[in-house]
Amino acid sequence: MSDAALWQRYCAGDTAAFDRLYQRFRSPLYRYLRRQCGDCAESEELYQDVWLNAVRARDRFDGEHLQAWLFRIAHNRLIDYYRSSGRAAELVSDDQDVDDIASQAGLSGDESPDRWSFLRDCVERLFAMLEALPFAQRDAFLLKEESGLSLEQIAEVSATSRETVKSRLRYAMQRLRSGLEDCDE
Amino acid sequence: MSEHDERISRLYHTRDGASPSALSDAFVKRAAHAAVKPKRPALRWAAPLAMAATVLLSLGVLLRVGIERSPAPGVDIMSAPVMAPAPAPQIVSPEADESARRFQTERAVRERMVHERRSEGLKQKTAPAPKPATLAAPESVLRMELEDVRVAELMSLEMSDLLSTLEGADPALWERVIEALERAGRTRDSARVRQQMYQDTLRKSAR
Repeated sequence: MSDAALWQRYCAGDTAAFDRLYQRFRSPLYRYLRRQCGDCAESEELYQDVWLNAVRARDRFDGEHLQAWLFRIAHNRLIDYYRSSGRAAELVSDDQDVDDIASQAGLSGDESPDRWSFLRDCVERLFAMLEALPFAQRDAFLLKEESGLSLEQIAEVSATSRETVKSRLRYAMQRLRSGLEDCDE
Repeated sequence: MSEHDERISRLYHTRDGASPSALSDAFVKRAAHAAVKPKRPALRWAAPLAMAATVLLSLGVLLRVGIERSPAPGVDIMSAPVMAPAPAPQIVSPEADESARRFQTERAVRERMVHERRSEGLKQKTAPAPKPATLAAPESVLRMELEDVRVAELMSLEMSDLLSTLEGADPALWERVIEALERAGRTRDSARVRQQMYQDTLRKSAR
């Protein structure tokens, strides 16, 4: 059953339909929020707020593109969180910033002879660099990876253009690649 | 340069995904379920129904009280004022009549017993029979009540009858009659009774 059909059934009083939808989106939404706020202590609170806002606004939404709608609510909630927690400066887009992300993340480039340790090290470096990305670039990356939304949908969620999203993603990938060159399989 | 890198995407998803806590899950689901839970329709008829039930109950109680107070069958209780003051209690039922008769009989018996005991007490004044302590108080009270009744009865007699009745009686009874006459303002009668009491005492001491 499609997301839209389940949402409509939920709005008609079918709580089991909500449970199925919840199961579909709980982990991606939570990961997006948590990684976007830097594993902040408020991630659980933000996550609950997103769902509560969705439930409150259910009558104004027909269920089409539910995933994009949920991530838009999450994105807006994150913006509010950044502003209220004194991190508004991080929201400023710095798409032209070409600082060395790898150095910001403190990567040493040491490699472990053990394959598993090496892979784990690469993942740790990836997340460290991800956290060091500007908000807009990280947002675009996380939305793409967690929600699987198209560029157009990410643009809609972020209230920006498709080209801007594409540019942000390109810069993000450039920075991440530069810190993970030695992680080529 | 592409906006997608499969290698980075794979690395990103390598990390075990974090999940919300069970507490968040429960909280969200409970809130979502409660939001679409059908609300109970407002019971518009509840208040009028409660009022009607109260009125019916009150009428029933008033009707029952009216029936129980009704003196005889066939009386139109609805025409009688419900809040009218209750009439003075009258013993009309056979049970009440019987109870009154029993009370009178018991009273007469008690009076006779007290009188007999008093007579015996006068005869054995020097060595009164010991009475059970438990009976002392009630008997004295009873005696006082009976003497009050007796004094009242004596007061209603003609003076000649009163004096002949008091002849040979306990001086205490003489005194009570005298006090009662004085309280009633019959000072001349009380003086006459007092004089007669002295003579009676002299007669008894001469015997």
